[in-house]
Amino acid sequence: MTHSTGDNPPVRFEGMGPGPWRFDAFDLVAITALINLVQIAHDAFYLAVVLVASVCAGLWRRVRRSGWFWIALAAIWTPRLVFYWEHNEDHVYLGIYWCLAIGLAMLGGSAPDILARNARWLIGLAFAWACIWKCTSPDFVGGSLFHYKLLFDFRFREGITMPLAGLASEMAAANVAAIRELRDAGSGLSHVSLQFPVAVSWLAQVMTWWTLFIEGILAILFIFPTMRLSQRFRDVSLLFFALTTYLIVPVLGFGCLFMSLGIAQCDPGRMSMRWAYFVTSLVLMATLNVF
Amino acid sequence: MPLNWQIRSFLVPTILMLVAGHHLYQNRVQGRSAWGAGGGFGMFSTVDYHGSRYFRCYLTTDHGTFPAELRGEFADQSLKARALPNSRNLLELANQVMDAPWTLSLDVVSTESLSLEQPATPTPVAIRRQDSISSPLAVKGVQLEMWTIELDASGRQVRTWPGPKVELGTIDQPHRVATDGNVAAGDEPAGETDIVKPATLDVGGSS
Repeated sequence: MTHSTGDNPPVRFEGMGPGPWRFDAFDLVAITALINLVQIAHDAFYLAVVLVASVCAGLWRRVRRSGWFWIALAAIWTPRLVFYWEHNEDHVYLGIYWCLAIGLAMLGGSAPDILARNARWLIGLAFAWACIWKCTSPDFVGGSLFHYKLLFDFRFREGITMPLAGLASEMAAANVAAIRELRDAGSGLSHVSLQFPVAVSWLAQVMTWWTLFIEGILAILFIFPTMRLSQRFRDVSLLFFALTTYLIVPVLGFGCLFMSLGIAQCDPGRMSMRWAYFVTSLVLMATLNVF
Repeated sequence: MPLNWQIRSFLVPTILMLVAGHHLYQNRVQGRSAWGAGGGFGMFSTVDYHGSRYFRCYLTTDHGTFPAELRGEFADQSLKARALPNSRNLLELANQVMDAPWTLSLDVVSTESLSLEQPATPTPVAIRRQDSISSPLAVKGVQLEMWTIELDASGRQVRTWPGPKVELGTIDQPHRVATDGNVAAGDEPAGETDIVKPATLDVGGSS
């Protein structure tokens, strides 16, 4: 990891495009970060804030490159994270951390370097914590979690379980009815039986170990970015994870956010990879009918 | 005054570590939901989270004890209590249940077995009173139990387990959990019990 200080001359973001249309890597970061804020603005107030911020950032280059602009966005969201924490999922926290990181990076010299360092830490730590939770959860390691998701989460059930594992629609309906009966008011049931083909169990095992593998690899590659393996594979790994995960589980907030972080942490000279991240974020939005 | 590069580089990752660590601590000590709701990054790690947790609630009235339908009701406090089921959050939800208008439903019935030996008999379910025509229930006491589920893949079963619970007001027939996990109510002579809050709580304390 390179260590630059605030005394170093400022490093410019890589730029491309002609004349007035010229933009740079930071513009891609800003666009994807603002798109992510739209995803996490769940009420009219925050949606209005994001829309005003997006218009200002789009019209005025100085605004979007101002550290205080991004810090203000993080500050506006902070009361919601503190006082209404139960309404905010993990990607909301990560999105606001990212706004704060952008703001701090843009407050002084060496902005691209500090932005990249923050992005790598945020990606690496998010995956490291995800691995810690999963490795210490008997539900996850034993495959129960993916059995549950494959049978009861309609995104998994209709996208994977029914076409790939041969879960019949009658079985799916019976399972949903059984768990509803378990949770009925006044129900005295202690358990209900499930129906599923054995292929569901195989699929759950594969998904369990694949998830641990890919998330563990991503945590290592981004927390230790100077490893030769990391320099070669971290971008490809993150793109592969995003496409194989968020096309199935449409958590667009996480998907776009990881793409924004990915753009920011790319090594200098890898503008094509930055574009790959940006295009992937557009693909994720397109498949989820955001446009 | 420009901030030094260490603060600009490491402040945000440090905040992430502190928030996630606090979430993990509350999960272990107070049963806080592992995913969603808290910035711990425990998404997709366990079947037991606020989305799968649910409540079994019983209202004590002048006409007997009835199960109450809580699904879709008290959404904000219900979410908070399922995400962090400490005594404060559960008692706040129980208070909201106590203060709300209830009536008995003619359409929704429960088939809860009142004891392990007796066959199941239909029991009316209390629902939130939405009109001025139905007869209101005078609620004297509330028993609120949070239940969690687990999936036994090899046994092909979903099992449910009682979590923390609170009782508020006067309880005629305490609902207790039998050894096999079935809820048993009134299977011994029901002495009228006056419960003073805070009532029983199996997990954690107030935050």
